[in-house]
Amino acid sequence: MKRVIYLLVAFATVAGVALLKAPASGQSDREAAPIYEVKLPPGYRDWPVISVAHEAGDNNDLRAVLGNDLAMKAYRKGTLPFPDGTIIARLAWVYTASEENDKVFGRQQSFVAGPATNVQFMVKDSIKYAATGGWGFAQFKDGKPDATAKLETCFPCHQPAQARDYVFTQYAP
Amino acid sequence: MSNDIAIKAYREGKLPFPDGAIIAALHYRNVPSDENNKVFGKVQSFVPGPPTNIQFMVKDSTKYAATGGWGFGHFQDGKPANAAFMQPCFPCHEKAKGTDLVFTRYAP
Repeated sequence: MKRVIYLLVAFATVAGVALLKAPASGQSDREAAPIYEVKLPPGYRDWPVISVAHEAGDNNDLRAVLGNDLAMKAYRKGTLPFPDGTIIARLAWVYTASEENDKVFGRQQSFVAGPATNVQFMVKDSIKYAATGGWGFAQFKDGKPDATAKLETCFPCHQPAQARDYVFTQYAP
Repeated sequence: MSNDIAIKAYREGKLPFPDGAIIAALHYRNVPSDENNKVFGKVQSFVPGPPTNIQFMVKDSTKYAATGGWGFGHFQDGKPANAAFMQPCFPCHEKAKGTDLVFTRYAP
């Protein structure tokens, strides 16, 4: 029943988003992503770096994983599971060759962040998200919930990382 | 990564960077992640391996007037490199004159 309500809320949110054009004032960042009702956390771009990665293949992106204070504290102390209030952000950009850098190095070797693709979040709330290991998942594109995101696939895919509280990214010192 | 002064300059597109700006480059080995690749079902995931070194650019237009206002630092396991090692930093970064000798662009 709860799930049905979530889905209804999600549908209503998506419908609302479709009807209301995002205002130019940037208020769109308060729209909640579906299913888990996660809103874009303010100031996330200033959070410290947990790690970076390059995903080749279909994604072909460069990504940075950032964490809020609770996430960073848990990572550095090795606390598992992550405490409620933890938020982990995954920023990603198109994996792009840098002609400018390559010219300096005298060979093709430099790949940098191109246009942003999307931003994903994991939000810990062991009560609200009890059915999905305590995590809510969200994806935003251009500051708005990404309607193309298949958030129902997030949790099953994160299952292999169950031993680290469903989080793949490990701390890079 | 960078300190507040550098981030502010980056976001405002301010050039040259003001005195006090510090930009840090943390480097790691590029290592395939067997764990992630298993999840994706193919080899595609590369993550940081062991740290290699950390480099800094520190802006002080008076102290470092001879090198475009930038002091360069290179640390390995918390220890600084010797003077000879630091010689190539400035000549190489001069090629980024249009962006105050800084290669890295802000990724939004």
